[in-house]
Amino acid sequence: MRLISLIFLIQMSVSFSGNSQTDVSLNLKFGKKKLNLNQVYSLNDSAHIQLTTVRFYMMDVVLYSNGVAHKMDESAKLIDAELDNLLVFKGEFKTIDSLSFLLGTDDKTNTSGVLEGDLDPINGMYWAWNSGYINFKLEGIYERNNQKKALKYHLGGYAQPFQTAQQMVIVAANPSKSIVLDFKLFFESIPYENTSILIPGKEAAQMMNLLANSLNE
Amino acid sequence: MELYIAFVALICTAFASHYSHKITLGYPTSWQKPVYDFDENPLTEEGFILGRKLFYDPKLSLDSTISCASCHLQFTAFTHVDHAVSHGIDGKMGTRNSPVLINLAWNTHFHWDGGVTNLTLQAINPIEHPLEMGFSLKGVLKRLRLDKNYPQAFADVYGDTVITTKRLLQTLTQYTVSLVSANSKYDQVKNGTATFSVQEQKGYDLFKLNCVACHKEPLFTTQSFESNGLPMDTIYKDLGRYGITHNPKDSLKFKVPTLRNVQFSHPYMHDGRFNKLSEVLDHYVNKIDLKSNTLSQALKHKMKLSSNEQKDIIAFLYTLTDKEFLYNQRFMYPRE
Repeated sequence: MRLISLIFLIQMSVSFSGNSQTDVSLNLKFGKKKLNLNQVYSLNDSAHIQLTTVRFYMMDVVLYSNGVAHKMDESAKLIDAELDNLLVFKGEFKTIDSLSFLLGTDDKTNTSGVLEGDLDPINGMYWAWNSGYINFKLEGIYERNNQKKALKYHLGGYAQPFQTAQQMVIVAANPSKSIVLDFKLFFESIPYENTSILIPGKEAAQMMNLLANSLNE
Repeated sequence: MELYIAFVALICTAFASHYSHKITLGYPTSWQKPVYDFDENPLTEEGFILGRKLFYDPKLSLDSTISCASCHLQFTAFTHVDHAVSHGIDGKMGTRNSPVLINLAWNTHFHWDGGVTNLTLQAINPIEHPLEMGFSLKGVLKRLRLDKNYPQAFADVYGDTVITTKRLLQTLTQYTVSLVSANSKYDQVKNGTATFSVQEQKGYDLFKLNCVACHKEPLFTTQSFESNGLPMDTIYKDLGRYGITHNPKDSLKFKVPTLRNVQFSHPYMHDGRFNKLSEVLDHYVNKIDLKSNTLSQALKHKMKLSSNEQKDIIAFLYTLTDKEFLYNQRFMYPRE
């Protein structure tokens, strides 16, 4: 699989407890505000976004500390804003150099037999008509100039030339904040007309790239 | 006589586990090995029996009216006879002709557009498709867990009563992957136990000249995706493989089906537009759109077959009928 390697200077959410427990979590935001499902956010004076579903896969999460790589126990994790399960990595580290992960699922995952746990097809992230996982599911309502449109992005596809998984390497520039996925940044970068993508292809690949670019400070 | 591994090759003394009995898939030794990963889903007698029970059980559909067998009838080569496209729950009509379920262990892609690439995962599609069984995996699992018989049936296979997506799909597949058809008259001629009639032999010779590029022996398919010169259907405007790849070169291409048991698998083509094999032959001889951009290379030159020669080919195609397969008690609805 062709992996698009993107390096972001992203701030990590690192909470230190007395026993040096270091939890790295995702922080889903809309601009400066915390993202809450079903809440309406303003993109600008005339455009408003309401997200009802935010679900996506992360896999092969590796945290580098003092030059040593530590792998996440699970091969893949389904992040679900509904469940608020945003913890990416749990461990005891004094320093964090970087975090690498795949935003989405890899070739092997998409071509293996029936998988279990977070990859169980029962989770609604598997396409039955076109074998493979939905790497990122984003649903809601996009309103502009008082016109509402259903927003539905089911972004997936692992086959050439429209792979959607994005290899991410996050360098810890400042270990005091969060890994932020900013949906305001994402929606500012996409056209209003394109509010429905439900199949693998060029558009899905482009959207996943834009989502990766929305991982930001 | 060619060695034929008995389908029910129960290795009663060798157990897959302490609770289930390993079986092996039988097929002619001259055939290539199946592509299905039996290491990932080892066949067991108990798994096959449970898969068969699931295949015939309408509980897998939302309103408990449609089973897998509703659209895949054994006597008609596990397809839906007389239906151009099949109907699901509430009489909802699908958009494609149900494919035959034959020799699936050798298939790499499933559905007319090849969108599904793993047999074990294929069953999700009909279960969840709103025009077919209209249900959900969650719903099926819940229903099976509450059923008075299924937990024990799963325990017979796996040693405990836990019913998961993986176990559901794997046992269903143990049945469908076992649907091997390899004892037609054609096979008997090949292994020296039968002979073709004069007309069948003529048809076979013509078949090898005109059809075998796509319908390769012994599976009678290359499993490639081809445009056979059919104009796009006017109802569904189905572009076939293009819907999966979005490559214009795949427009109007569909998976080449096996011709085994084709005598009984009518209607034909992805949209069931032809009811008779004579109509199919007539298409190939007289009606192919030679200007089609994506037409199969094998069809670029006009097929020249007289009316009698077309009948000879049909006579040969009838030799691909495997009545042992079509009436195999082991594949039938389990009357318990």
